[in-house]
Amino acid sequence: MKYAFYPGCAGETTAREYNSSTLAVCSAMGIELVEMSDWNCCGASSAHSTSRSLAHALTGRNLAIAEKQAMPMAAICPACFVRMRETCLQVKNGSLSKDEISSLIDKPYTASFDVRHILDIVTAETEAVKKLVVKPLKGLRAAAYYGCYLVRPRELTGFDDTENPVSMDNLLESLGADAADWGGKVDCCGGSGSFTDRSMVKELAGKISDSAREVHADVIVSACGLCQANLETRQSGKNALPVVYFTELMGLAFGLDARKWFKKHIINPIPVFKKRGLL
Amino acid sequence: MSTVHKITAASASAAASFGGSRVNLCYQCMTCTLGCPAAGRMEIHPHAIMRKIQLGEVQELLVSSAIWKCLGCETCYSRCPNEINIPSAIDELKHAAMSSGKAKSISAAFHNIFLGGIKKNGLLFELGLMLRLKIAMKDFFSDTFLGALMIMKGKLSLRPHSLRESGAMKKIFEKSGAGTN
Repeated sequence: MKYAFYPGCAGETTAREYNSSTLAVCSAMGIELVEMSDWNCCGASSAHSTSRSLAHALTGRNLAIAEKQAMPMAAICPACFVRMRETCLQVKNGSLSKDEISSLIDKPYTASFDVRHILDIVTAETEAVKKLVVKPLKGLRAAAYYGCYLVRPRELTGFDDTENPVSMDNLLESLGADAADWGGKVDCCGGSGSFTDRSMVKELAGKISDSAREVHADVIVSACGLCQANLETRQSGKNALPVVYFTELMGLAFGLDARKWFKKHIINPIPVFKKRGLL
Repeated sequence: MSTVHKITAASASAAASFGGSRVNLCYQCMTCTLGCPAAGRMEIHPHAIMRKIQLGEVQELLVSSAIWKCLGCETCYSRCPNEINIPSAIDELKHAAMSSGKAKSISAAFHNIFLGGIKKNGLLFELGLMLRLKIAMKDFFSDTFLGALMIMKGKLSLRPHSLRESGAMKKIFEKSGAGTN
């Protein structure tokens, strides 16, 4: 299957290991990700806090580019994903007219293709994942963290359960890891509050990392660049808990060179993988 | 100011469509406030925001800091028994506060700076955003070590990006009437 790949701003910078590990594992699975040409920022929370037209226009330009490539869009950032999907679904159900969006962005857009998150794409192919595992993640206790925008709001994401999602847990189990049952799965990390209200993000990220420590997790597993950065840089306690991307763990289990991704982290996850005999 | 709070036909009808939500359906069960990660920092809690919209007391909300504490995490919406899109109603308040110049929060300043960068570069330029924000917040020393570490790890770009389709962002901002400079 071919997708128009939208790395998002963080995928180029703070979450580059998420971007490169995604490309590597998708290539191993035969999922072709073609990076979109000349994409722009989705507008994030700033656009939808400011103006509905601007929010739809920024996402709409990207959707139109993907549509021109005649492929569904695949995003790695849950926030980009949910913003893009909102515009796509509103055009599909007619609450935002095709004429209105096309005029805003100066490009035709008809909402003919879907928008999917990469976790949704890979978890739909569990058998293909299992076949590629050459180094099962035996003994690794992993806390799957979904955050907000993969599962909320339900009518936009259309993915898993809002309160107790399990798709990432099942993926981790199929990689051979031990997925911890824990209470922090869908709690908010504080998002872009990291820029304006550090103490709030410290409190929220601290609670999430404490919950993961409570169930003796070795790592928290993230599917979002901003959540990962918040959890890595704002968590509390002296025993820093590494926060890795699910795609990095897939790569490790597939026998790919995961070390180069792990080196990009602020909290070095290499010692915990060594301790479990996985590196 | 009158102390009698009453829902009128006009305020009920405004609440029914506020932000594309159905705020008129709120019966104050407080599920939103109980699950809200930011409620502890709001001077007006989410359920009280809904009530004030029903009562037509929107002006008070526009100058509040509570609406800017909302993280947009969508927990309230996913749990609301009446499926009221609370984050969308709060977004509507943010839009009105921004366009009337009543938004006094640092979050509003953040959104302006963020979007100003997107208008110029098409993509987020983190270093530029952080520097502008530091000036706006008069906070020059926090996270400098973290920033340096990120640069060393190649996780922050030193130069802004630019789109090949030049002028595309400017046009989009103009057409959508967003007053960011």
